[in-house]
Amino acid sequence: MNMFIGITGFILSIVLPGYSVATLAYPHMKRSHQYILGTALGMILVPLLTFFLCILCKTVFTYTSLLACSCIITCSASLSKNVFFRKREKEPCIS
Amino acid sequence: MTKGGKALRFYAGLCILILFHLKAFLQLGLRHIGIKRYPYLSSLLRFLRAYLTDLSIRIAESNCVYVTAAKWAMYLIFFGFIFLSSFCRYEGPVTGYWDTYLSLPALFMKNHAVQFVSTEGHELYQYTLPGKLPDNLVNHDTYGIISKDQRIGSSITATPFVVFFPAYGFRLFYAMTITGIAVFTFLCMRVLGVGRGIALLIAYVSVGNAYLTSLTHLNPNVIGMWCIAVLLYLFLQPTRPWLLLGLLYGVFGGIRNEGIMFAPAIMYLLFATSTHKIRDFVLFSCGALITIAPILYWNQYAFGAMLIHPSQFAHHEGFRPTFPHSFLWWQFQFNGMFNFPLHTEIVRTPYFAFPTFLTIPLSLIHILGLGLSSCAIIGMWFFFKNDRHRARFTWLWFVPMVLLFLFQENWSDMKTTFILLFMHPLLLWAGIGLSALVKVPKKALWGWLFLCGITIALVVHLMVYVYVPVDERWFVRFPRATHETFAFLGDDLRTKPEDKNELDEQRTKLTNPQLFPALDFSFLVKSNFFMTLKNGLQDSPLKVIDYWKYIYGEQV
Repeated sequence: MNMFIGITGFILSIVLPGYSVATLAYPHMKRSHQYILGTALGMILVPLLTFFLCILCKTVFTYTSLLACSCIITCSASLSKNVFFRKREKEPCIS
Repeated sequence: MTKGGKALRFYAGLCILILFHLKAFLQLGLRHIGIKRYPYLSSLLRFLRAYLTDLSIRIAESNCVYVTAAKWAMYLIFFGFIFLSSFCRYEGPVTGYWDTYLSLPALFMKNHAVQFVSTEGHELYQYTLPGKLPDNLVNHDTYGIISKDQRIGSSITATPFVVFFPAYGFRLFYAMTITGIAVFTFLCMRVLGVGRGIALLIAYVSVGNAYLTSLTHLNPNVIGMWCIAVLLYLFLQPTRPWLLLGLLYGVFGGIRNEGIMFAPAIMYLLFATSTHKIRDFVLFSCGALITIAPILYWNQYAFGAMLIHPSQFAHHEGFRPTFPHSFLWWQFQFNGMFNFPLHTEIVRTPYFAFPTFLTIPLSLIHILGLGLSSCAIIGMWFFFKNDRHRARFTWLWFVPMVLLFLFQENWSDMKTTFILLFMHPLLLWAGIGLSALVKVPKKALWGWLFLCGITIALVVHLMVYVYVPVDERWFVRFPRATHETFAFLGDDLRTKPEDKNELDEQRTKLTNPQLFPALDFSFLVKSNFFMTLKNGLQDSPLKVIDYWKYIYGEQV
């Protein structure tokens, strides 16, 4: 059960925000590469931003703080994608 | 015919071709043995060479479902092996100096208290964690600054793993960073147009070399190498989102402060290739500033200054002497030991056969072997000929970082892992060189390779005659080190007098490079998965030896 919660937490707070940043930054990259890059980006960016968030909120690393950070990154990336880079999505995909 | 049918026909054809060649070779080749080589073998070799270098015999389309499945199965087996072997190899957490001061901050960030003990097992401190950051990380009355002189960035990166997988978080993090190095080295090679086979070979050399496989604990240089692989993959892409690159660079700066040495390469690439130079420069700088800001805040909070290297903090507990250095007319005191020209003479760290400025290049040649070292030189030239901007970028990535370490003494076996920070450009050049040798059928290129190999071998062999006096400052710096502490660090030789035989052995090893890379497979028989798994965070409370006290502090 703990392992299941851990894996779910990892996907939601590391892979998901990383993937959203990867799709925003590299929209024409292969999907598989976006997943791989997304995991790496999540592993690099999320912990540091969570650390920042924890200092601001005077708390420690928990599921909640990591998920909150994940939400911030994912929502920011999705918003940026829809607002600033709408034209890019219409370009043909180069595989 | 369907795509699957085409693939099937391709593989069936390949099998028949090989069988035919074998039969013909046996029938004709052996009959004329000693007269003439079987002539048609070359066609089979050409076929295999083309397949390896991705010149692609396009009988089957690359997106054919069977080809794709086979490709992914191959990747899964290859990278899965790297992941599993790393997962089993890990012997932490909180064993050894570096591992302890990386994993302890991660545990404290998760609000997981530990019990500090002496080497005899006596409890050292009574404390309660306040349950908030950054207060958890500093307690001046007991454990002090929990990261000691290590950078906090590595610990921050590891913390989510401890939160999600309390028992095996560090192990998983260790395995994922090593697998990440292999994956992104492979992707870097593919971005540069190197074939799949060679890319996989170079990816394996990046993580299967003897230096990396000997590391069974968390090491900031391994984490740094993983970040470098990701950064290089993104910098080598044709399009570069500078804000994201800045964010990643800032994080890397928090993990390894030496990252500042990559700034000239990045600035060169930005100003040489960007069409909106000022905008991209501003975006990159803002990104870097955003992610380095929490680290600067931590430096201010813990060490009292934003721009300070943690090892230079004057108020760490214990004895940390400074030594006079000078360069031209500039004289300064430094809590470290530089070699000539910043010191009065050329010296070497005790227990090391050579000064660092020779140890580093010799170790790199030892890792890559004569073959790949020569390929790296060929690749460097070939890369420069075909893609000047990216070639110059890799040069600028490599040279400043090497220069930073060449003249530092106070070396140790663990510090040798700093070579992981500048190994990537060499691996990329080696991959490009190897690819060029296979793709371009020019005899001259092979001639150059041979010449490079002979020259490197000759220069390296000559190093056996280099003898340099010992750096006496080392004995002043570590007067309190006990046999037990250095044994914990894996460096128990350093409390005994130098042994000439051991130095000669080291000298022989480094001055006799092999033709092939120094890959190490001994971990396969050493990894005792079920034995080491118990080292997870099952113990409650976790007992941790306060290594710092034994090296710099009061414990003798």
